[in-house]
Amino acid sequence: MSSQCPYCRASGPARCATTQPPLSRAVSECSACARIVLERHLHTHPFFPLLPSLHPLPLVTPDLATAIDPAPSPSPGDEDDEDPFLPAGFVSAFSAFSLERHPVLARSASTFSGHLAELERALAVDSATAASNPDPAGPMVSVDSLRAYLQIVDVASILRLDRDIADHAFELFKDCSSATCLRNRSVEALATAALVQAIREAQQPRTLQEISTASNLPQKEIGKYIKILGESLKLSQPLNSNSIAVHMPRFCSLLQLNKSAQELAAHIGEVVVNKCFCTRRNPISISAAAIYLACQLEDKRKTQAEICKVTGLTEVTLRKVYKELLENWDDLLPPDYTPATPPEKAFPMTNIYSGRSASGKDMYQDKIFESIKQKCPEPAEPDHMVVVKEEGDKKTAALGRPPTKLDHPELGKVFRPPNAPFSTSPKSDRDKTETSLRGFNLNEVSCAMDSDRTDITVKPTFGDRLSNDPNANPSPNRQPLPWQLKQGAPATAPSYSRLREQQSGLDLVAALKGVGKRSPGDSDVRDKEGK
Amino acid sequence: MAEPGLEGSQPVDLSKHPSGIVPTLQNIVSTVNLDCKLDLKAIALQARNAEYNPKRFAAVIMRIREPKTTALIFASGKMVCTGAKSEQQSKLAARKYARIIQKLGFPAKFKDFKIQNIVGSCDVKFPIRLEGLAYSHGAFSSYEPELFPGLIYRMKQPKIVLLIFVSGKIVLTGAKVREETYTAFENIYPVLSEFRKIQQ
Repeated sequence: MSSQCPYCRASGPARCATTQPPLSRAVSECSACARIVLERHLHTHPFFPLLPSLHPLPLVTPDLATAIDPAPSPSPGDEDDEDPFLPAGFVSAFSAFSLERHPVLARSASTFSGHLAELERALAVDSATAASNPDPAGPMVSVDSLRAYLQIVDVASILRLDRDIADHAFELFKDCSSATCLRNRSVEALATAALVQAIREAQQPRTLQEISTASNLPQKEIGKYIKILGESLKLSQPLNSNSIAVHMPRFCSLLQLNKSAQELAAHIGEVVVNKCFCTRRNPISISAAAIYLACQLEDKRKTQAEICKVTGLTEVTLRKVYKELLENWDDLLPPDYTPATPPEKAFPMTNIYSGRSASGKDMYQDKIFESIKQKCPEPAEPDHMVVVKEEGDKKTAALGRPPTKLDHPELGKVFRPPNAPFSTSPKSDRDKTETSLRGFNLNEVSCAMDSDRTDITVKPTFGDRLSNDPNANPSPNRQPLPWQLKQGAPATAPSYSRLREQQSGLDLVAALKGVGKRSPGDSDVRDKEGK
Repeated sequence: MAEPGLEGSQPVDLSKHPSGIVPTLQNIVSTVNLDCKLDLKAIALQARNAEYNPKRFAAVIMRIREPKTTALIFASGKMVCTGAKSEQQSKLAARKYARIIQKLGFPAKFKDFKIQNIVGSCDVKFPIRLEGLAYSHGAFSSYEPELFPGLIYRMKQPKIVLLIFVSGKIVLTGAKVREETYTAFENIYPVLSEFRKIQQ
């Protein structure tokens, strides 16, 4: 019975046990992790052997043909043929068998893998709970639990996680499903979120990108369900579950770095976190950049492609982040660290602003360099602050959209072309000037709107115009003539202001048309337009 | 632009703002009902600075320069005005849009003006330990640095969502009146001071 446990990989003895009374099967459990390794089904077959009797039983039945013959034909020949001493009829001999009183029992057994029994055990607890509390959604809970269980086991096996994590994730899912309603929610996404929570509690870090790839779900959806899970179960995030210190050892072990490179990378990561460098980057990116810097300085020469393959980054992101880190070169390294490769040689494409590369032997020179080192971080800080402010501004501008997006999902498109109105307005002006008489009318209306826009108080000016228009009718009729004549003479290159003046004149004409009180005035306007 | 300068120059009312920091309003979303059916195609053809793509979005997108805002004008007569920096500017802009619609020949009114959302931002000028804050205020916090670099804090009273960044920048959103934004910031400021990150 010594077989390898598929759950904890321990080659230990398995103990025999029996599952709960409703199922009551003989199983073999691993002594280490108490999970079902083998499942045995016993079948009992009763056999009843047959024993033949020693003495046959003869049985004579009358021959029907002989009985019929004498009646129709009473000839004397027939009477002579019959022999009175021999029995006439059909003779049959039977050999009888009798059953034994007690049967002989035979037993056979078939063996299955323990995974299905483990599944039944996990679901049996849930079904027992559902049976104890009669729910109308009882069978649905079972179906959802089954789907969640398969999802968790599937993703856990892809990521090569421990079985304990998967079991804990399933417990979290069951608690969440009992606490909240699963309607309109993705069971697979919630199961994956439970797995993420279990991973974090177990301090076995996996990036959300890995989990997203393994479960075929978008990261944002997993994040959304992590929030739902946290709210329903009132979970507090495990401390330092997302920090660089958690992810760094796994990346280093996957890249097979030596101890000094690991220590240097971990130190760089700590410095970045404590000094608040690159706060907008996520910890995976900073871990990857720190590893890259450590590899280059220790002359281990891991390529960017290798690091990106392990961490899930793109090479462009890695280059951006490590160059951002190099901007704070003086603070990154330990005080007494001597790189195996000179920094200029390790990072040939980047300018490093460092006072360490110069080596002064005299005391006076040492003092000078110390003063330079003291001064160096000061100019770096305002640059960092400027960058932070700019980033803050961008994020503020970008974050202004989400609440409005909640109301109107396509408001983002509204904000996308911020320069569009400035660029479109001259085009619209050109289009309006190029249109026909109707176009002119539309343009006049829009010009009227523009004049109204410029005024803060719209109603009083309109009232003023209404009151002044009947009195001032002849004067605008007379004024446009010399104005238009003056414009007509130097009309070689009309400027924007001249276009505005024309528009304002047209506005007056439109106002006159709007009033529409005197027909001879209209005829005068038409004549002028004709001219 | 003048208002932030004035707010900066004026002394802060410490009875109203004990922290000494006043959040700056960045965006205001308001709605108004013009109470008449609108022909969006006619509006788009006649008005300047108007975009209308029925296949993309079922409203006319109109902009004015002062106050610099954007309006969504729907065929039902409802209008959404975004981009203003204060409540008065938002109402003024909405009135200007309504006036433009009136000039185009529609019998537009100005009913049910309401501020729907106020976005504010400020800077506390010190770094914040987001992980500690997320751990101790787990019921209100959501911090996923792999998804988003800020901590999302859902305050219950007043019902405001805050975005808190390591650099000390704070974004407050979801307010309907200005005082809600100020109250939310005064509530969160002691917590931020508690989780101030000490530079090493």
